[in-house]
Amino acid sequence: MFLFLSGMLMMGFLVAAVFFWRFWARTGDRFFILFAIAWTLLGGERLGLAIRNTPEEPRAGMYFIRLAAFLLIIVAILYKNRASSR
Amino acid sequence: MGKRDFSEAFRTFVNKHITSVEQIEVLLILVANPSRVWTVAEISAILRSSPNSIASRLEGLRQAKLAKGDPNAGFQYTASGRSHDMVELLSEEYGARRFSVIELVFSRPDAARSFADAFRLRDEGDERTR
Amino acid sequence: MSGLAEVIYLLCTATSLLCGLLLLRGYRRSGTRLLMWSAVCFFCLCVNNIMLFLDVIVLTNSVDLSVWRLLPALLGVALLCYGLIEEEAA
Repeated sequence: MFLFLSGMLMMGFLVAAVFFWRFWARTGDRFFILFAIAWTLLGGERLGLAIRNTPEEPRAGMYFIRLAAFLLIIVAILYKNRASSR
Repeated sequence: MGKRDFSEAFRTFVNKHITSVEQIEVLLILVANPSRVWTVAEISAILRSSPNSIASRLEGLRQAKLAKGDPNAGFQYTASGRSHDMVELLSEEYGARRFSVIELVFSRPDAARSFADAFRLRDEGDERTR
Repeated sequence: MSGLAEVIYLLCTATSLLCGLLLLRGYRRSGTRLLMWSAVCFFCLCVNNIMLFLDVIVLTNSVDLSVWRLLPALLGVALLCYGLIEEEAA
């Protein structure tokens, strides 16, 4: 069940990433590239955990991917606020 | 002159509160005499529109906190502060470039843009002074 | 090792909570439905991160929440996808 749900979750993250990518193409706002990469990473984390077939995230070291994804989201928020203070 | 020329704050105001051109007309009648209480029948006579339609426009304005009252007692203009500034601006722009305003009313807000804007920590109110 | 994991999970929890709150604020302002779904998605991810923290750090995997903690994340992402597709279709 873990693998099945993990796979569904990966698909969801990747679909959202594609939409954010399209938002970038439409608005030209780099904010969305950061979001698209972050969500791709979250999808990648699921894939990594599934390949190792372990739900125990700290031991699998996959939390670095999660960290990277959320750092990108933070960078995106900072970018948005820097860009708007021009 | 396209709808992109309007300020962000103005576009948000219109997208959020104005759903039809008739609603603008009703709002302009109210704001022209802020102290007067208008009945649905009076406004529908001026605009030559059905009372049902006018009643629903007034209800929309009431929900947007731009008008107060009810169908029995009548409606009165109530906006103040920032919303009032926006109504004044709407009245001005509707006179000066009506078709751009109408285009704005009928365009959907760009969801992607409002998504990105949601992450601005600074208050939107600052935008007008920028 | 767990010290670093704690910090990372708390950071993820705080970030998703912040995103959720900002999007909710944006939804109140603009009324764009996509923002509502995105806000709900981030709140769900926040719950997922909290459960991950509880499971791995607090309960140290004594109770296996690995399937349960995926459910809020899955719900959130599904709602976000619904919001995105609804937005593009409209």
